[in-house]
Amino acid sequence: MNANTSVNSSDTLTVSSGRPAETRRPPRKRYVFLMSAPALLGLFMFMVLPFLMALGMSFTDQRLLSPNATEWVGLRNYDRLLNISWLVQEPVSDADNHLKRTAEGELVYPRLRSVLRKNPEYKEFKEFTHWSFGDKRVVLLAKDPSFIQSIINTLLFVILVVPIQCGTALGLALLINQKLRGIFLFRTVFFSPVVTSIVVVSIVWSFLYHKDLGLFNHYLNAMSFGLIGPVDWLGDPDWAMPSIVLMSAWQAAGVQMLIFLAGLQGISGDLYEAAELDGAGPWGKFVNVTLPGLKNTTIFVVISTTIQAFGLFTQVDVMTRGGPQGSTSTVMYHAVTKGFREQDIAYGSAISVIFFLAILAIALLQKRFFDKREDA
Amino acid sequence: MADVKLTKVVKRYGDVETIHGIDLDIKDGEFVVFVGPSGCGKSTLLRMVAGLEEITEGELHIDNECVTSVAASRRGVAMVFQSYALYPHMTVRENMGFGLKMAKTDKVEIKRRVDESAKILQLEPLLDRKPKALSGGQRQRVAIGRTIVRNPKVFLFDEPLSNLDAELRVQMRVEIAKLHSQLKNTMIYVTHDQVEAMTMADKIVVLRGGNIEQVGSPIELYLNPVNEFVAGFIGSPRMNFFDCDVIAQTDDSLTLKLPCGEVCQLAADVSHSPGMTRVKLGIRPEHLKEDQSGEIRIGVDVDVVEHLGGSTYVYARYSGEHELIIQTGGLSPVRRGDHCDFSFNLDQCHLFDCNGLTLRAAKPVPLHTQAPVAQALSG
Ligand SMILES: Nc1ncnc2c1ncn2[C@@H]1O[C@H](COP(=O)(O)OP(=O)(O)O)[C@@H](O)[C@H]1O
Ligand SMILES: [Mg+2]
Repeated sequence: MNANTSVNSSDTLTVSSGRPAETRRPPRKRYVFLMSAPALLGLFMFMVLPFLMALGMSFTDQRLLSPNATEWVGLRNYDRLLNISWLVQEPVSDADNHLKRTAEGELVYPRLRSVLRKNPEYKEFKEFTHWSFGDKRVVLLAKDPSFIQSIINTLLFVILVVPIQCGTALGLALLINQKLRGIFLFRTVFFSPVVTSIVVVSIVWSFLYHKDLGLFNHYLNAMSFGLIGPVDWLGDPDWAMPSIVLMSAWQAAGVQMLIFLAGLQGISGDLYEAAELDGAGPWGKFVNVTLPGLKNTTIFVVISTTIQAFGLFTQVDVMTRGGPQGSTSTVMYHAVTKGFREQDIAYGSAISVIFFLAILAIALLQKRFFDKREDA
Repeated sequence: MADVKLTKVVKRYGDVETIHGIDLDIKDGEFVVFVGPSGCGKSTLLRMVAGLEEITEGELHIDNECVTSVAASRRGVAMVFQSYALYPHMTVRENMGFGLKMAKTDKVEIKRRVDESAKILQLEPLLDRKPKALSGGQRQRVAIGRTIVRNPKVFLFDEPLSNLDAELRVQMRVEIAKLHSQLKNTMIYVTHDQVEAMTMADKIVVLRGGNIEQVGSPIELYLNPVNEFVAGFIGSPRMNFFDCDVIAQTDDSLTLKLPCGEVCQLAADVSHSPGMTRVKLGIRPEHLKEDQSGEIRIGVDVDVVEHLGGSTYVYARYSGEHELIIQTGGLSPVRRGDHCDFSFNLDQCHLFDCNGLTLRAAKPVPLHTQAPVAQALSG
């Protein structure tokens, strides 16, 4: 910047005061730095530095306890994480060109293991899943199929939990925004799961979800007059994730509820009265006054809930340990399992880096989406 | 015909009664102003008419139909809020058409009516803006436009101008008055500003502590206030009061001793209140004259002089402790610290008994010398 052409406010200050500005007060910049130093230090030590270390480690073959020296391995960890391939298999036919079938009448394909072993191109690849197209079979391969499964599980969790949790939070906020006697009691009750340790909540809900002794199955059974048999909530691959979603939404909704409540109380009462005079019913008021008034709150709540949801770990660790059949393993859970339990810290670091970038991208996309909507 | 009739209307919040049984008749097309000090229940009364506040007791008729427990949106009223209460995410056009949209009016019809009202208020260039892109005055206009679109039987205004600066306030005051003469709907307007009340109203309702003190045209209230409160509230600057001892009393006259010691006799029908010892004498600032032509002369010490150009306000003390405001002509020679004499005529004095009730009002000044009245009204 050219000092001759720009008159900067701090220059003017120095000139106009008799004494040099420094003797009376340190320059603003120094203060800003001084005041934010403790927070910045913490941020650096516990966020930036570990991240940089993880980033560095993700390019090595470091293990937690290992007699071997650490070596740079380049992108090997990332390759192992993200490399996906596929192959198409023809069914096996006998000498007369008839397709071979099993006793159940299903087509028989060459053993995948031997196919993969034969072809060096498919080294390290394992089957993730397969689909049938006519007689052919398409096999999706990944070097770490359980990571791909974890990504899908995590996305499923996010897609389910964000609307349920935010919706519950908004509903509760609307309920406790009433001016009723003793409403503070409900606020406390609805907020209490939040201040309860998630580990404790997970253990309690494990009992509730129990197949034979759990309260849910008892109620379900009683209310359906025995028609709905006991569901193995946490043991059935189809039910395990939805069960964790429900419990997580219940546990965490209190925070969003309070944020929504603050948002609700920021909406002018006059607007509701104007809407009333304009002939809007309860639904009309909700759609035309409450929701638009909560727009910024909603943006914040959705983004923060999404980010929080991506980090799903504790519930899974306590309730299902990623099972059954990997149906509740999440990216975070996978990272911890690989990094600490299997002691492959370099690989765990690579997962964290990918995870960080993914969340960053999603947060930016969401913000972009909401910003655009605002202009519209 | 949209008459509004309140019968023994009472409002209670729990055990606290804030409106104590109000009877009021508002004729079709009248511009009625509720005026009174802050907290006297103006807004509560208006909101009961609007249907935003439940009527605890009593009845409300609009257009000869009992609407005491009819929903706000069905009463055929529209309201302008002090905060304007525009929907922030809607454009001006959507804001204005919202009521009709809720009533499931045809889109073409909504557009026609919004355009029509926008034209009346010169809002056409603003129709596609959001409220946050409007100035205070423009928002006010949109808030009014929104009520016009709905073509209500009764317009309600709750201190609509109090968020505007002084100049805009005067401008909008005139516009609302014009609007009334154009639309000829019944309008009820709440304000704590007696100048707004005097300038706009066909009929003023003076409220105090949840009761009606007096109902009448601005001139009626100015000339014949029923009590000390109304006398003090209506007129600007406010009326001067001082206590006087009663020396003698007949059925139709009182002999008083003024604070300065001067004794005078006033005609007043006091046959119903015998044996008074003290009364209050009220004289409006514009009836105190700088010259000595009045019947009674008083000497005052001048504290402050305000030159407004067209007139001058003199703040003074009379006989030691009685504060006094005097309104005189534009280029008064009176200076701060002066000791000077002012005078007034006895027939321009109001008299109030010890309960503040009017014993006698000032005699109306003949028309050709009514300049001070007109001036006070435009104040
Ligand atoms: N919701 C309420 N609960 C209890 N008292 C109220 C309520 N609203 C208003 N009041 C009381 O009613 C009286 C009249 O209020 P209001 O009509 O707002 O006065 P204003 O003449 O200033 O508009 C006030 O004394 C106020 O304290
Ligand atoms: Mg009010």
